[in-house]
Amino acid sequence: MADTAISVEHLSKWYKTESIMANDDLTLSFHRGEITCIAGENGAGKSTLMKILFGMTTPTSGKIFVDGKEVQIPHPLVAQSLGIGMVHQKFKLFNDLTISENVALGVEKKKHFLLDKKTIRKEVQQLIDDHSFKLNADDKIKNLGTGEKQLVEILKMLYRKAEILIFDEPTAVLTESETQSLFNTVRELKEANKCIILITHKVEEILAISDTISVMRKGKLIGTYERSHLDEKKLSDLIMGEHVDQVKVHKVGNNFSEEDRVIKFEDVTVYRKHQAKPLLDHISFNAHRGEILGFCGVSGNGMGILEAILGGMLPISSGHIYLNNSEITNLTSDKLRKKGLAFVPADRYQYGSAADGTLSENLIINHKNHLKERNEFSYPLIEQFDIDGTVDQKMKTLSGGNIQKAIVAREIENMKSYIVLSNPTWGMDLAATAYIHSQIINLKRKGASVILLSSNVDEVLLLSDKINVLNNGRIVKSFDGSKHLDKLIIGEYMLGKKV
Amino acid sequence: MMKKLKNNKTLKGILTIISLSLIILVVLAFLLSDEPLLTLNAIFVGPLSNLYYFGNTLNSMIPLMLGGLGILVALKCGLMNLGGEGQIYLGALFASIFAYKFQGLGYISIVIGLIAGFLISSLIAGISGIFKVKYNTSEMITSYLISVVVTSITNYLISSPYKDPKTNLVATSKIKYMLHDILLPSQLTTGIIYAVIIIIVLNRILNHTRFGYENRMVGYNKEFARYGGISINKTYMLSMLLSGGLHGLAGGFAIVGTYGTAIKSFSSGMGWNAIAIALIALNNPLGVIPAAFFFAWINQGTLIAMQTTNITSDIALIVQSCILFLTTSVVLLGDNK
Repeated sequence: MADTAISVEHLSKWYKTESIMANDDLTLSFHRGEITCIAGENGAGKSTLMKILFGMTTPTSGKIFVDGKEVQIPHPLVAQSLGIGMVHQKFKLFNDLTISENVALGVEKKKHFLLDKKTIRKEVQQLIDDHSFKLNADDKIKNLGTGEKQLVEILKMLYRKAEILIFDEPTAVLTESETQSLFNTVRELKEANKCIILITHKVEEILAISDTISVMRKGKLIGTYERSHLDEKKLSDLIMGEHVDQVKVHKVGNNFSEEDRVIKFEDVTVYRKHQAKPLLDHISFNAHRGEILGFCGVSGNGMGILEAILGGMLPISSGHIYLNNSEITNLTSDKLRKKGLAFVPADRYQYGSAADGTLSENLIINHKNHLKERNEFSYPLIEQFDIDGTVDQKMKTLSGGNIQKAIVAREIENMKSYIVLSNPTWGMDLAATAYIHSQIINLKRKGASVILLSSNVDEVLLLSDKINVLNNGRIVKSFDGSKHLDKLIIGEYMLGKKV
Repeated sequence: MMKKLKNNKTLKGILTIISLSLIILVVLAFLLSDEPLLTLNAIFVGPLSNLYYFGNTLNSMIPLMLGGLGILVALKCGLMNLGGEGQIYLGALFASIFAYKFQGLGYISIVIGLIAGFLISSLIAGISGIFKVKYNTSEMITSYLISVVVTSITNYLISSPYKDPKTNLVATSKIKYMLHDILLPSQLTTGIIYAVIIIIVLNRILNHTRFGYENRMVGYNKEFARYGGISINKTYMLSMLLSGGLHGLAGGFAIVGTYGTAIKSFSSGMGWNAIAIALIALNNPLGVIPAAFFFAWINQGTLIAMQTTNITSDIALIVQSCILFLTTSVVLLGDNK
């Protein structure tokens, strides 16, 4: 085994405000002359681990060792002095400065109190030539392409004599050919005996580049594997998660008529200002009475946008939306609420609750004309959903799971004909998850139209009568939930490997 | 209520701020006065030494309480109305003009004056509200800038078109009907009762009505409010209108209670003090009463000290400035929103 450059022992990061265990007891080591990939879905805790290693956040507990010595990394500057460098997803470059100026920024050579531009230029050009990058130290950043900018970021690390190189989702911004040339560069750096850590969730790329693969899920390290021991199927399975014990659900499949239709999306498209590529691209679907319509997708592929549209938080650029055959296109949340919207948002803190309000104030928001009876209104919900809190307790003192229960309770209580649920069981324990699932099935049995958006494929598979997979803002595939479905195949559509 | 205040980090912060300010006051007295002990005695004990001083102390609380309440209403939904200076001043001018114009109607002219003050300042604050809602302009900047302009315009109106030619003061014509005195020889009027009633009513509105709830929720978490079907724009507008209106009432009560005429620059500083009062009122409408009492006390005490010893009223200004400065310190107040 190659020699260890950096390792962590029992590293944990607990985000108190969000009550998330972002990193849960990680023990890992990274070696010189080796490319290690950290693989995992969004939210698995990969980025948190990298932030800890680069000193952008501090761990709640655990130890970090560099070259066998225990170190504290309270700040990125400390990380740099330890020989750790990082290429961020978003480049940190000054467009109007030259390559050499950007590379030397912060560690400039000085001569008689003045910048020694000549030496800097020479050194940077030397570095470029050493690695046979096709760059000129005098070019301005604004004249460079994305792949070239990334090379400059790599130069910055090398100029600072970094031995441990961290790449945070480096291919997210690159084209296919740029990715190939980046990989060639990374392989050369590996030959130069650097320790390379790569974060990505693209299975294909992980397999193409890495020597060692560490898979993370929900903050935990699932395992570290040799590249040669894994194939695509096995790795996808590890990333997406093993099977969990399933509740039996009666699936009705796709047998719905026009009359059952509650929500209809017709060619819904959303553009962000000044961007050519739509965030949602001609989405059309119908949601019916007595149906659970599932959507799954990796975040960043339109799930959040779809949620915001359903909740009346975001206007659409073109298309039509109907509720029971009357048009509700671009109605704001207050108007949708009057029409009977029930909505559990994915972000329970930003949208779902007011941290400084009391539990009863949070529960009563759909019945603003009955504020006086808010306690009487709240008691049965607290009991029914087993929320661990009192009516006058501030929301921020409740645990994340209890906040989520309160939100789900509030919205189910308020449901009229349809309900939108986005990651309804995120961060909840098994018992609470099972309870919420049984409630959702109940709603369906009572004839509600349930639209379920979830990044958790298991959840969508378990509950949905129909499953739409979102990738790149499009519904790339629809599955009949009553048929036997292979999770891996859905996963491949989600990751954009199949279209 | 008391249980809530106990162990409250914010309350501790407030007490720290007040203690620090008082220490500054003591230090200043020793630096500036030839007879520091006499000065301190006048400041701290003076306002309670007889009914005249005590009544005046209570009287000067009235505009401070109402102004503080105006700040607090907006603060509750996350808005900062920095235009209190102009709103109080213009409200006072309108109250004096309308009460004078309608003095044929007897005591009803007082009500008309107050309503006029309320409406005009409401309108002024409402402009900032419109900018906030339409263009997402910072209400802090617009309300402050508008206030500067409004103050100048009010100065002009008092010194030229509405100046009473019969007096040497730069002031509007003295109104005939005013609120009744209740603690002669002090200036205290029934205004204090009305002000306290307004505070109690507003406390009820903010804590128990739909407007209060929506106002609070927007302040707690704007996105949650929007998600829950609350119109943020409507809430912002109502909150600003009410905030301005209360400032107008603060100016109006100063006219129909204490002065009877809008004297040039008479309300200078009240708007800023109102902000400090709202900030140390612990986000509680009833809290403006003790907060305003503290400010009125220091003010009145300094006035007494000026008469008995050789210090100037600047000492009160310094202390008040310190409090305003310290209350904006996040460190001392903790994360209080």
